[in-house]
Amino acid sequence: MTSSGASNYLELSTPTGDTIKVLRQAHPRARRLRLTVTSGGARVSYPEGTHPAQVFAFLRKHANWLERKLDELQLDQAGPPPLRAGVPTLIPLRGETTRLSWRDGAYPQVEVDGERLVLSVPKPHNQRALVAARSLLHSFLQAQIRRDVSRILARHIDELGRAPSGVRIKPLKSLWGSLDSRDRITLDLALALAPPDALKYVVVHELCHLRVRDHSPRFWNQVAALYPEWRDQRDWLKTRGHALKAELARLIGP
Amino acid sequence: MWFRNLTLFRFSKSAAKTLKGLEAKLDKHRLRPCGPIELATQGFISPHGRDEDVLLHEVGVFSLLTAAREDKLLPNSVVSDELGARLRKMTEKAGKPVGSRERKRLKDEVLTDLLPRAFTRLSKRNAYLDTESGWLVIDTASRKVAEAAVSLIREALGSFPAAPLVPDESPRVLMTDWLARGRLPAKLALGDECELRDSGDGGAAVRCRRQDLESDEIREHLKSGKQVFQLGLVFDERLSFSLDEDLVVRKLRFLDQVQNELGDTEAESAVAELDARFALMSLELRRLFDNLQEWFGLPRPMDK
Repeated sequence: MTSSGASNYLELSTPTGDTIKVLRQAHPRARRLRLTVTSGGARVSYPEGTHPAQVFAFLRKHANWLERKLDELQLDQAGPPPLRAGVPTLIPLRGETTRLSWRDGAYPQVEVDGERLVLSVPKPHNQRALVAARSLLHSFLQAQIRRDVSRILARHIDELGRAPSGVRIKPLKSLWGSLDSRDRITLDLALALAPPDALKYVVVHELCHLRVRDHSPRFWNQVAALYPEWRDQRDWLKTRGHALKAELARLIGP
Repeated sequence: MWFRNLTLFRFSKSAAKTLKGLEAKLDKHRLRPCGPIELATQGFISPHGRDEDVLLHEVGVFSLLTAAREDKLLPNSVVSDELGARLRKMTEKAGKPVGSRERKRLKDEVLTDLLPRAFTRLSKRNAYLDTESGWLVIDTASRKVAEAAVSLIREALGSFPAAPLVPDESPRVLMTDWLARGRLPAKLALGDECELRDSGDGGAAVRCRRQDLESDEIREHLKSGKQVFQLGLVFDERLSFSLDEDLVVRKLRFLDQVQNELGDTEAESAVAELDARFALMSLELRRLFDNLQEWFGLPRPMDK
């Protein structure tokens, strides 16, 4: 939730002489200062009424960390151009680089043609076609995740003795998944681009929260019991995940 | 007692085994009347009516039960009016504003005074279990109500891992394909209503009622990239319903063919009539669910 009219950028000079733009946002429910870096850039959020000097001091204190994080992301980001109607491109899909091409068709539809993904959209391939294509990709990726999640759930629910009350899939800003107090699992749409094992880890992680609601050792033991190789997948998401979120934003739009 | 809407859950074979002795377990969670200062109570009542004893109506592998709750009807506006009046009185008396702690105490006092005088409302929700195929069917289209009913069953059983439907095939993609190409599975025909939407939040939406779904208007919407979020369907000329993207069945109607089959048998009592209807409905629906499973891919949770 953003407070209306209270967002603008702070400029921070780094020891190396660069300037970093940080989005500043007063948040009505914030309890402390918080600096986050996502594929969209850096952002600092703070409780309403915090003195600007305090925010600035906080940023200066963490300037080195911020610079390092932005560098890491920049490396991952240097790649795909924005999605353009009619122009073929490469996208990650379930961890594999897949060719995405366009074709003229009677109805907008995504087709899997061997290892290619074909967007079949009525011509002309203009801005309107791009909007239809983005919406199609959204549904297609959602369907991909659902298919995998359906099997993972069928396998583990009985073993765990608990079941979620529902599964929602939508683009999430910084999380990969969450479990709400009504036992509903929410998963990030970007997981459709990640290898199936990474998706499996996130689903198992959320399922285990049905038994243990925190991240205590007891929780991790539960995760390990269902999925012994969870550590590799968590590390993979930590290092490569941001690039996937950026990739998703390019495909389905902001 | 025909179900009007269906929210579905699935459970494994081993979970089905835990359903033995269900009636005794339900009995421990029988609905009791709301106490004078209680806001709500929930529990099970007999499918034959609140005053009956039997909590489970069984026909073969199908068991019908009724989850119910009693709510006190006390509108917030009534509470805040009364609270406002008392606060004014107190402020005048003390000559200074009332603190937040005192205000909270006063609100509790108002609730305690008004609750015993409030009306109670009973709401019932029928549900049935198919222990052979592992379906839990709840007569509601509301996710919240369905979840409340499942939690109540879970509470009675201790643990009951019933999972919501997560289909292999995206209903949205599949139903759009049915409508766009007119290629419906055998036994299925288009009804006369649908909801088309651009996917993503805040996209355009079109709802049609009493509309020929094969008309050019609908085609144009599909061409511009809208997808089917809800679709009116007729199954085997016996059931008509509207299916949404979460596979919630709405506006379920049993068509003349089914009603006629029931009409032949003259029911002797209310219980016998319920028995006949439930038997017919559960068998009809089992055929529908078998087909839903085939079209959308709905794996039953596996055993340990």
